[in-house]
Parts: sequence; C-alpha cells; structure tokens
Amino acid sequence: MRWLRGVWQSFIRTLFASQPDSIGAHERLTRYIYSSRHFKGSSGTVEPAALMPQPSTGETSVFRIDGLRTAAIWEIGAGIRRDSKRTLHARADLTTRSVVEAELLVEPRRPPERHAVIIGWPDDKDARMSRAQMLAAACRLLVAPSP
Amino acid sequence: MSATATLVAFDPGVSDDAQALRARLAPEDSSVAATYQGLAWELQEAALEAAVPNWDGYGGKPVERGTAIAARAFLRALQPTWPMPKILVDADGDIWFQWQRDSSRTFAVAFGPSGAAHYAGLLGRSRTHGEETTVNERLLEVVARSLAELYPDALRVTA
Repeated sequence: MRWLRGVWQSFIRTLFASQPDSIGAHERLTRYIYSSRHFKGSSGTVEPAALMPQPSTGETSVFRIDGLRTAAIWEIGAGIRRDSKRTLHARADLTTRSVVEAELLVEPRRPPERHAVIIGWPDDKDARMSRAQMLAAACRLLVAPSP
Repeated sequence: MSATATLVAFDPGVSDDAQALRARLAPEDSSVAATYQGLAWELQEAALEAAVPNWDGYGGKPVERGTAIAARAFLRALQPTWPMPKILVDADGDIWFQWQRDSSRTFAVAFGPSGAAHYAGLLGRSRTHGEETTVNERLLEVVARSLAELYPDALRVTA
C-alpha cells in the first residue's frame, strides 16, 4: 500500500502546489458551472450568464489549472462546493489572454490555493453582458464526468 | 409568501405602451399560443430554479418578483416570427432572453427588478449593447434588427 500512499501524496501536492503571484499571459483558467442552464452540452457552448460577476464582489471566480491532471481539476470544482451540496455540471476553460481580449483582468485571490478572480467589469449592466459574451465565445466547455 | 406563490401569482402590470404592444402582438393562432405557453413555462422554471440565494453556487441573487413581472411583459411582446429564445438567470438574479446561433453569434435581453431592459449582442466581429427603461418600441426594434442579423435567412427587417 506504500505506492498508493505515494500516489495520493503526490496528487495532494499537485493539487495544492503554490502558484506564483503573477498570472501568465497564456495561463489556463477554469470557471466551474453549477447551474444546468449555464451551458449547452449538445453544442458545446458556455452561456455568457455563467460568467457574469458576483453581485457582492463584482468579480468572477475562476481557478488556475496549469499543471493539473484532469481528475484533479474536476476534484477542485466538486470539492469547493461540497458543503453547499451543489452539483458540478461542467466547466468552462479559458486563458488569461481571452480575459484580456475581453478588456478584463485576472488576478490571484487566495485562499483557496489556485483561486483567482476576473476583475475590471464595467458598471453598466449591458456592458458587463457584452464582456461576458466575449468571454463565453472564447471558452471551451467540458461536461463533468458521471460520478 | 413562498417563492412558488410569488412567481405564480405575478401580475404583468406594465406601462400603457407595453399594454398596447401586448394587445397588438397577442398570439392569434393556436400554434403561437402554444409557443407562448411553452416559453411562459420555461420562464417560470428558470425563475424557480433561481428562487433561493446562492442558487448558482457563487452567491447568486434570487429572482425577485419585479424581475419576473418585467420578463413576463417582454415575453408577451415577443413576435411570433422570431425564433424561440432560451431563458436564463444570471448572478444578479436578472432574467435573460437569449438567442444564439453559436458562441460568437448571440444576442440577449436581460430584465431586473426595476423593469429596465439591458441588451447585448455579439454578432461575429461586431458588438452592440444598450439599455431601455422598459419594454417599448425602441427595444423591440433593436431586438428585431439583431435577430435579423443573427438569422439572415429567416428574418428580414421591414421599414
């Protein structure tokens, strides 16, 4: 069983490995999706509404996923909402570059480890919708594997 | 009052302009009426799914009664020739009517509790966005123009 413990410890180390404070220009990010209306699996599209900023903070929560294995990426998404019993339906992968092209910014926001936020959203609702549409167009949808 | 009761009982009390629009655009045949009923049901489903705080796992606001009323008024103003929109709720608790050809060709109108309409469109390389204080002729013209761009083979804008 020693090898199994080794694999597990390696997995945990990877999952919580400290990330640099600055985010790379081509770094991969993901937005976890907990609402079944916020994506369309048949066409592989992410709904812009899924990317709108949180009203209390004005920021969109994302995770930095460079260097993570697929299973670890899904585990973070499921784990962070385990207490609230939200079902993880999908995730929207994007890059820092696509955030900047949508005239927004991304910055690290720990804890938890690997957490970051998309900031710089305009005050006007319609302008925020427009930026969310640009972001969604650049996203790649991945539907969560069956449990 | 429970969330269900609130949403079922909402009364689309809207401006005179919108009332007139609604009367003019009211479905006349049974297929249009069925489409309207289907959308009304989807609207209610979407609102109920987002009727509690943190419904999206990110601290999303619940849909308020005023939002549902405004969305219902817009739903009644939809033209029978327009494609069916998808109905969504965002983190603000606002209800979106969205038409989407693909991820880079999309148009949406969102309503919040004030009844104001916010719209945005990504039409290939061009973008549009703006606001109207209520469901009015200007809003419907913007929607018609945007849908004609999204669905050029199916819709034409007439003067």
